Amino acid sequence: MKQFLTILTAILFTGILFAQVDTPFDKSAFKEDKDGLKEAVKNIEQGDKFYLAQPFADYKSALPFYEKAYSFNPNNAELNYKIGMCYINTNFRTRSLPYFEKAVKLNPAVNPELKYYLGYSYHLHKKWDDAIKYYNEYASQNANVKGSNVELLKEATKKIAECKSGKKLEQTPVRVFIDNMGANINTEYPEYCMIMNADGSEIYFTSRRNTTTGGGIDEINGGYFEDIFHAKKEGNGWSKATNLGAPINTKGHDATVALSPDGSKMLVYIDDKGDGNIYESIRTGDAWSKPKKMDDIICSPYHESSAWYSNDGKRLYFVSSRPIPGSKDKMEKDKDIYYVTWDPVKKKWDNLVRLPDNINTPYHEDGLFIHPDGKTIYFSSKGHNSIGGYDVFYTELRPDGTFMDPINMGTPINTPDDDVFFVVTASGRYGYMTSFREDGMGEKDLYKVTFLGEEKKPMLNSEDILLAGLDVIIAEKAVEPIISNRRGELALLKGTVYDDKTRKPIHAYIELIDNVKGESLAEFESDPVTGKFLVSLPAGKNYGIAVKSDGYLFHSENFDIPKGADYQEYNKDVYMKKIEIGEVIVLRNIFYDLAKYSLRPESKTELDRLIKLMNDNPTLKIQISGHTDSRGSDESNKELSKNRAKEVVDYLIKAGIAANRLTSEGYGEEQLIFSDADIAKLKTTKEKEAAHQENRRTEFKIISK
Amino acid sequence: MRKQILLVCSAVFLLGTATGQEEIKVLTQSELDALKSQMPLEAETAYNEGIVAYQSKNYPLAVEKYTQAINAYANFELAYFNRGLSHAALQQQEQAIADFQKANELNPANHAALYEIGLIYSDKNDTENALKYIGDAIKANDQEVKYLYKRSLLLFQQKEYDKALEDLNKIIKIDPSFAFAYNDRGSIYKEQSKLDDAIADYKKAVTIDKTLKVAHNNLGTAYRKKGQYDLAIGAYNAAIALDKDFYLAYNNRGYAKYEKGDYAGALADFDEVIRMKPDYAYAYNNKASVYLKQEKYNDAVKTCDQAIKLNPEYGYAYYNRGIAYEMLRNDKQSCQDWSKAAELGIDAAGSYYSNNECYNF
Repeated sequence: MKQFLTILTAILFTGILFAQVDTPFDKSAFKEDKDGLKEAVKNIEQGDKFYLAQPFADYKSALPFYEKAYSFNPNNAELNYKIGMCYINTNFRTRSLPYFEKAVKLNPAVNPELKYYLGYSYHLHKKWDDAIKYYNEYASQNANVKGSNVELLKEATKKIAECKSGKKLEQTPVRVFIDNMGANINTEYPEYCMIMNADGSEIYFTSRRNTTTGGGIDEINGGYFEDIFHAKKEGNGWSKATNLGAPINTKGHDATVALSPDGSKMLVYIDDKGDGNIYESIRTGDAWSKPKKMDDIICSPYHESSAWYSNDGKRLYFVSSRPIPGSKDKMEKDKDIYYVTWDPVKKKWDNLVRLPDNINTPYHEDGLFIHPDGKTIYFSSKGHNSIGGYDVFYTELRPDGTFMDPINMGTPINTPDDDVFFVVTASGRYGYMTSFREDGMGEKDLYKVTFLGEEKKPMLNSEDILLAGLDVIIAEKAVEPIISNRRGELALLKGTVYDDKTRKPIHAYIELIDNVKGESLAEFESDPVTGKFLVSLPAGKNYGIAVKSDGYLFHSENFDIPKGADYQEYNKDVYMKKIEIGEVIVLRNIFYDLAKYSLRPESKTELDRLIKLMNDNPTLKIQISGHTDSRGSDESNKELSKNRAKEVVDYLIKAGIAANRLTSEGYGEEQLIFSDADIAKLKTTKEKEAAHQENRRTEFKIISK
Repeated sequence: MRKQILLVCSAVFLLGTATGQEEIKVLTQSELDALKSQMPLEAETAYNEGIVAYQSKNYPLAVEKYTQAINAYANFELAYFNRGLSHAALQQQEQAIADFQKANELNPANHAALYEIGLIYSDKNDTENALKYIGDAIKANDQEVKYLYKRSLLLFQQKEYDKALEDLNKIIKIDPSFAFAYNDRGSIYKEQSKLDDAIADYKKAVTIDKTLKVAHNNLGTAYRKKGQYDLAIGAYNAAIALDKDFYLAYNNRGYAKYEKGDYAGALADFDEVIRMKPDYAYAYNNKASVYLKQEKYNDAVKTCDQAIKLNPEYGYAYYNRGIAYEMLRNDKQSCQDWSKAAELGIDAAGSYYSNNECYNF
């Protein structure tokens, strides 16, 4: 038996040795098939023409010739290396692995860079240890060799670090579902760089499909010219994407860059003969204006490829390859992130700031996205702890103006290949990214990422007989998990502004106020045609919202969004009232101490607004009325509301409004907006409390004008 | 059967404790002589017949005989007291209260009558009056363990833990071997999240009375809450060893095994509970929780369905089923379940509903 095993081992070993012989394409190896050899050599020569083309190799075209030669002789180290190189330079990079593996077995010295590329191929397959092994072998064998590729040696060192990051991050993958966005969005052509408004109801993306404007083909890379396409959310899916058309799309390259949170402004990328600049288009109704080049402070002679608006519209973040401002070196450098601030007086972007070095690395940063929560910035970088190529990171703008050290979004969002163009809905529930996947619809596709968040903890129940002398079973109160939605700490307020009488949409200004600080935070506008608006309210503030339009009384809303609040969307249509006798306006930003009638300081902005109205309309006479909810006794409610209304009147008189223009009344719970019966029908405590809150209010009514 | 007062013997003793065993109080010879000298013989005869009838559980006859005794001797305090007991046994609570009040009126030192009134109010779920009368009885005799214990039970149920604790501390001082008091004090500590104190008291209770299965079970729960799962399982094992049908202990042991990560063991326990008590919705929900951990989401849905069928208002089952549906990529259903769970008071479900954009479904 032992003898048999020895013979078998010898046979197998011999077989392996035989299979691993590097077989040249010459007569000595193929004496019996000279024609086949001739054809194979011819194919290699054809492939080499593309493989060695200058200034750019055409790997895609070389591949079919090499594959034909490979079918004749699969055991040539150089051919295996070349096929591996072709694959690694196409979308199908991962297919390079068996060829590099074979090349290294046949002849590890066939090319000095073979081990680097074998390492890279393992890297792309997330075989971290194998990748590190070959990167190390490449580095140690070439480090002190004259004429070796210095850049590649540096790259090997970087890639070893990337593999270590990948190995570490893969131990704690992010809980996500990743789904292709489907045939209404993706095609066999490339789709990428999706942008959207804050609630994710409208999306725009770039595609190089055959329906591009003018149908032209880019001679440099052979694909159709880029155009911007558009789709809307329909239920849980998307409408069929349509070409956005003129004036945004032209016969040349037109690519998406950013969309303002309310969807009223779009940034597009225009190549400008290689300069690369950002242009802006404004929407009115469904029509987009002709894109206009952004200010020079943004569009430098260098390359600007990505940008995004801050949630309040006061900052514009962008990516540029310009030299560091103030430096003597005027050479184009790696791409960095900058921001500029809107100067409302000069009506232009100003004050260029480069993000600090904890964000910008010596490698490229790109693919910006500013979340509507007002603090989170998503971007891609080849630096930091990337696991390969561009990875998606996020940082947070702290209240003191500094930026948190970036955090890698982790796997499976990030891969060893490039991961760019990542956007997240306001709720933080969904992200969208561009990816090339072999099971996709062809070329790059758009993918939806569903964030599952921390593992949702099941809740169990137990019961005990806690008291020995009483046979009563008592249920243990289950401890609920603490839910945090770090990616969606905000609320969205959206709706349409109408004229109360005509019910037609109108243009209005929507001012956002920090009630505690008494500061105006931002001002937005409703669409002049549709009256639609969308405002993001990052958590951590008590917001006063004043909707104003010429010839109308102001309308106020209040939203208290504490830190750590769940994501909320408020749909609130606003009906603007003209200054007419009998009109009633609720002053939602007037606050009192609990069960007292003294005005809280947060009420100042609303009261000042009312004072301005009275001063602007000197003949106006109003009645201030107080209302409570239905809890508490009728008498105490009446008394409280009366005192509260009087407190407002006293404030106005102190501010110089004539007393004969003001009256006050307390209605207690006589004029509830939601009756007890209405409230009883509501499902949750939260909804019931909100209804009580609606009942507790201070109003003013126009008595004469 | 409640304690009666007999006129027949000379020794004074109490049988039984608050565990509910039959109690008999016997007068001293001098008390008996004093009483006999004041009343006619027919009152004594009828009274003694009343006692016999009560002991044979013929409460209507007992009422009749005590009434005869009262008719023969109007100030017969003990006859009122015993008739009160008979009325109470017949669920004639108003008559019982009237008799106990009369007994106390005739003899303000009869704190037992006040206690009995307190018990009747307790049965009527009128805790305020129950506490008042038992409190009055304690004022008259603050060394009576039974009174203090009853009050501690009422206070516990009112979640007035500090006051209950005072009574239990007094009881333990009076009778350091009263295992129930340690168990109950342990439960107060557990409710107050003082788990180390709870564990110490539960351990003391089972040391005093090894057969006290509830204390073993409660000890297990305190250990589980503290994250000491092996000790918890050991305590539940002891409870189960005392009572093979103690389904609560099986359910709790399953919970501890789940927390420990022994999902197969947890499933076996929850299955055992379901075998013993097929209508116990908690066991189905808990079993579904194990399936969630095992990523058997379809099984989790089916098991939550069973829990919800048994109790359509079971918020936790909707919450858990929502998780399973989410992992099965059925967002619409998961959102519906979280909405229902939030409606039923599960706040976490409300957060998931908001954060997952459920209003889109």
